[in-house]
Amino acid sequence: MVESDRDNFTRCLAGDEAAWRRLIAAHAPLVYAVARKQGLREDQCDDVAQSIFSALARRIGSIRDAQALPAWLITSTKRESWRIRRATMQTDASAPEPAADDHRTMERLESMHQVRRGLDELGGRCKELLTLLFLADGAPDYQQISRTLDIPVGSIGPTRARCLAKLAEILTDRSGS
Amino acid sequence: MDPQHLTDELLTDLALGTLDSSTAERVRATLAHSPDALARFERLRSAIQGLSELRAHAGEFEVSRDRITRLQNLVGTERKQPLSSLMQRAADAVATVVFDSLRTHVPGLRGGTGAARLVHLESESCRITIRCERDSVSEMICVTGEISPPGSHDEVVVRDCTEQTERTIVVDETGFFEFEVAPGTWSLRFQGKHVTPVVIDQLDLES
Repeated sequence: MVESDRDNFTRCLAGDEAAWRRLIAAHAPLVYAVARKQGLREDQCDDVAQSIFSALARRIGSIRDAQALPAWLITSTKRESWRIRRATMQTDASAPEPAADDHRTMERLESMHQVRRGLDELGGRCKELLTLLFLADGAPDYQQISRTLDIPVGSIGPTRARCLAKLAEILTDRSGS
Repeated sequence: MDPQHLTDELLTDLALGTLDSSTAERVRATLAHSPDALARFERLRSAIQGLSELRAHAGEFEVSRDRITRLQNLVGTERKQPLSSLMQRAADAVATVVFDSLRTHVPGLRGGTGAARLVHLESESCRITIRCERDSVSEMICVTGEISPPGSHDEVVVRDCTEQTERTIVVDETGFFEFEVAPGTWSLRFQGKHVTPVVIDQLDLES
């Protein structure tokens, strides 16, 4: 498994530049997803992302731990998006509306973000296999997966189960339960 | 079926719905009497559901490599930038700050419609960020910011230096505050339980 978000967060607290780059790469997709759900244009999403990670760089010491980071990012991104939306709506009546049922939408985004991060933490062959089986377009082609990962077709089922069990363990750990 | 036969592979097949009906029935019956195996099954099923949902919405998280790199570079530069450099970057701003007994100059709002400026202040007790932006329609100045670490009773006293009036803005529990002012000369006083008062005694928000 690769370094966990928890370990990387600790490195960020110590000012590790490489850790900061990893943190931004890991969590920027969540910030963009939240900003898009608030109805922002892509260029506005860029502005929001910059504001949020600049704020994070200054405030990371006040965030309890790595587990609290996604919720902090979601709350901060929503707030910054609302501010930009309010300014946009005064000048552009055609600005898209934010997603309805906002609370449920944000919960769903955080849940999907945790799965993305869990897969990255899992890393290696397991990440590759689960990605090919569950995230690739179309129905999974076991022959193709066998060739791509160089494993017998008969091993795919047992390996899938082992990898899912590891992912489930990571997700449970990430949720703190 | 004995609970020890409930392997991850069998439970995964049950979660995926790929077991024949009689085997699925026997697995379910065994799970009903094995809380540990049931918890393991629920975790596997939750992971599979999470992957399925992610597959349906993966596009919402897409961000190009270029955008990530640009963001990393921007934030990296800002993290390394000393306050003096941030001040110099906005030489056209006019502001004076009384800062933990130290008087210095900080950037304020650059003139013109749509102008925006970030101001970072740092003292021994806290860090304060202020973002001033002129609304292109109302011409009012929207001031947002945050105090870090947030206290429980932080507030910002906003004083109109021309009219000699003032109002108090309560900072929320996360350290965030927001208010609008008309263009003009203002003073801002940041105060709170854990914050050594920080005063910007002349913030010129005219162009």
